Amino acid sequence: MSQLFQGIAEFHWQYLIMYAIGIALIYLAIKKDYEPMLLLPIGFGAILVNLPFSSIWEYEGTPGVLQIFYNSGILTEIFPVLIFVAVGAMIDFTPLLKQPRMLFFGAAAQFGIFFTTLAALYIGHLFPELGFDLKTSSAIGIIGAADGPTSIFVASKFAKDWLGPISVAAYSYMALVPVIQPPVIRALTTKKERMIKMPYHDVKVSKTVLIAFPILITIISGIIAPISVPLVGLLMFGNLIRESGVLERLSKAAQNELANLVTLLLGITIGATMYYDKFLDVKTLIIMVMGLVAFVFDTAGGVLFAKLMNLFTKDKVNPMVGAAGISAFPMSARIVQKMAKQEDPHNFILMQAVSANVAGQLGSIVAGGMVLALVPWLLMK
Amino acid sequence: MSEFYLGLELMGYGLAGVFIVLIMFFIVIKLLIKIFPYKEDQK
Repeated sequence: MSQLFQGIAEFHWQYLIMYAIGIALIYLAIKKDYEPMLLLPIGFGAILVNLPFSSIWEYEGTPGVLQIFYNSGILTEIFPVLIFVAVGAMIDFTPLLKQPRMLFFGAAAQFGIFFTTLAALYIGHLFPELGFDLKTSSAIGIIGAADGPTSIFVASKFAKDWLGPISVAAYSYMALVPVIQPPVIRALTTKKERMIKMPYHDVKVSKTVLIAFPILITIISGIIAPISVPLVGLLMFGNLIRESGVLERLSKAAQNELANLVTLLLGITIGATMYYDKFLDVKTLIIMVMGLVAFVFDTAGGVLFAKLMNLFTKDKVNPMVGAAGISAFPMSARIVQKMAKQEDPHNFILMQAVSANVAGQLGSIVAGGMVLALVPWLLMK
Repeated sequence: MSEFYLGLELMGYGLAGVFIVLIMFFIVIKLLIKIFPYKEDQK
């Protein structure tokens, strides 16, 4: 008889909080349509792992199914890199190739990553018991990549224990970009600046360029930051499949079946890392706040860089386009266009914003590679 | 505080690195567009 009630005997009140968090994530996914592909599996995974005995994770010393996924998919980095293949197959670099100067915004809008790392280190200095060392702080900062797989990839290397909160923060704030970016943009620009028109010259891009681009980018990135090859290399592999024109079936499989299957397993596995004794911690709260800081300073970095550029160039840039330099595609570009239209219904800067947004996708991965390469080097110095 | 200074170095090298890599990408794109211009007969 006692066997029947052992679940009740093992019940901890903290499970209730985790169920509330799991249900909140599922609610946001279903009702608000906030990154449902990720937040729904993460929410359900959080509920699963917080059931008595956590048998989905481990039972009587034997790894459960989600721990097997975690060990074989996250610790080995297979899930995030497979997502990169899928994302690469989905990205169309044509808008960026048409306006390569937008690449600078893709770089400037990574400012939040480094600022947040610094902020986390400072908090770690004030409260040493938090254990925010350089590795953990940079894993927190990488939330500012606004790119789920990059955040997961870096966190799985530098802060495995905080993979759950970091991933939840990354995906939640990506979904909240329409709420986060407009006030920051408005605070940093004047109405006159927001009304700047940017003439658009359509440049045609040849098929050879589209094919050569992923190959050359892989080679350059691999030579400069070899550790970034799993990120950049596989993203570009996916893109090459797409642009080659002879692998349509593989391209479609990468964009659909591969992306869907890996996203499904990735989400529920990350959710399963949210066990209450790790998640219900003041660090989780700090990580969530730091994630918001990262997105705010990414946006600020992009906007301020555009304003700086305007001091030196003849063709003025609408500073709002700088904010689209984050990786949240295509949301960020849409927000910028919407704001431009609010100021002047005849202002059309969507194409430029999309180019900056694609540059942000590239910039976030390069920034992730930089963090992966620099942190061990700085610690060894 | 030494970790904080490492963070400052990370910010300096990291941002500079991202800019340098993306400037290289910029040059690559410009060169590719120049070497392989779009021809009207291309689909």
